[in-house]
Amino acid sequence: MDVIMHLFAATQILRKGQSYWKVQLRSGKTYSELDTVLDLRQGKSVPLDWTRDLVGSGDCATITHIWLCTPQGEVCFETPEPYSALQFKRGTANLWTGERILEAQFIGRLEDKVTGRATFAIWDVKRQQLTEAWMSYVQDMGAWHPDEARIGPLNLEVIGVRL
Amino acid sequence: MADFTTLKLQVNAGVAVTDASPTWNDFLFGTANYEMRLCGSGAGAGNIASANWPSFLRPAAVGVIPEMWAYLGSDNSGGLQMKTYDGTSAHYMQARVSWDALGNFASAPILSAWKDNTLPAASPGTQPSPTVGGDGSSFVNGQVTDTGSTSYIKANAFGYGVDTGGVQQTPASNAAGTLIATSGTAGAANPGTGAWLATWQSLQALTQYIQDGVIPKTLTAGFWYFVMAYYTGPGMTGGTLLPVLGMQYSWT
Repeated sequence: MDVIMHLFAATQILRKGQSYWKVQLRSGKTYSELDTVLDLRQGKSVPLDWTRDLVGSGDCATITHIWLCTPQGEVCFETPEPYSALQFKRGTANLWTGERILEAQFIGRLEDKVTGRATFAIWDVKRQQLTEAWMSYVQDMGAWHPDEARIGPLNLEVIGVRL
Repeated sequence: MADFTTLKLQVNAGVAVTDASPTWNDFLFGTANYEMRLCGSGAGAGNIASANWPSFLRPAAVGVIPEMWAYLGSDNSGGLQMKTYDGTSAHYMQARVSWDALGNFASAPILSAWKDNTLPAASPGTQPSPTVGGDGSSFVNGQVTDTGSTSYIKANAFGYGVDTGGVQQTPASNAAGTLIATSGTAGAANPGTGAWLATWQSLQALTQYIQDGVIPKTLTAGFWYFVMAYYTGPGMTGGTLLPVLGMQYSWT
């Protein structure tokens, strides 16, 4: 995606009160959630996908920096350790209407491969609040706000983290 | 492999449906006139406009609302009774969440109910003012005398839905278990593998909810079966009450 289109897409996301992730690999190449890739099977461009394109390709092992880009600014974690950068979103599907309600986006850096302790940055879409550094554990993630539920164990296979 | 393309509610409804012989009906995204409606025994029908749906009078003692209907795309026709809903624990094929094989769960999903689609925190025991009128919080917040401040909405879920090996878990017997107006424990109630909860859980936003015991296998379509019981009682503030039933989950 060229610079102008990326800037446009970023502006659209941020104006909606949402956020997006961005990473830099050891090669120097950068990717973001706003990028598209050519899907040869479908014969068209599709949005870049964290699990399919970064975890599935093994590129997640070479992430050196991960950003959470939010309406209130950016948070960046350096992630020199392979398989230590993570990202996911949380939301609720209204089962009566089918509406998907995006509630938060998380980036993280695994700090301790024995205990699973990680540092997270969180963009809380519902509350429009940025948390820049919150500690929890990938094997039993807590509640990031008193009114939220404990998230529990994260699916390490899809978020690309290895203990 | 981002979010699911299809994640929807399906309900067992129709003229001749039973637990042993269900007919699953989709609740479609963004389509008008999809409603679940509660009423007294024998009061519902398939051709009543929403504005004329019979009121359920607040009872003198807490009890279940015994009948539920699904309207699937029309305001005043085609409504189907959910015959495996009667507010008791003697059923097992009532509703299910259905998801496709295009997404992944980044953590174990949660089933609960909220006041409305802003998904506010519950305020256990707090009823809306009668002068203002009730809303979804009338159900979700519960009331201290009627429900011990648990939600008036109770639910039970079966097993893991899809286990970590990708095997679908489907109920074959009634949910049974303890189901009373005060049922509900703080935090998560987690069904065991291939089993219902021994005690029904109250659906009260993220104060009391059901959480899957595992993270269903990635890129695997499946269903998570659940049953519901809606109570009401003298402590509930009445009105047009529209709580949201939702599944909270994580994805990459």
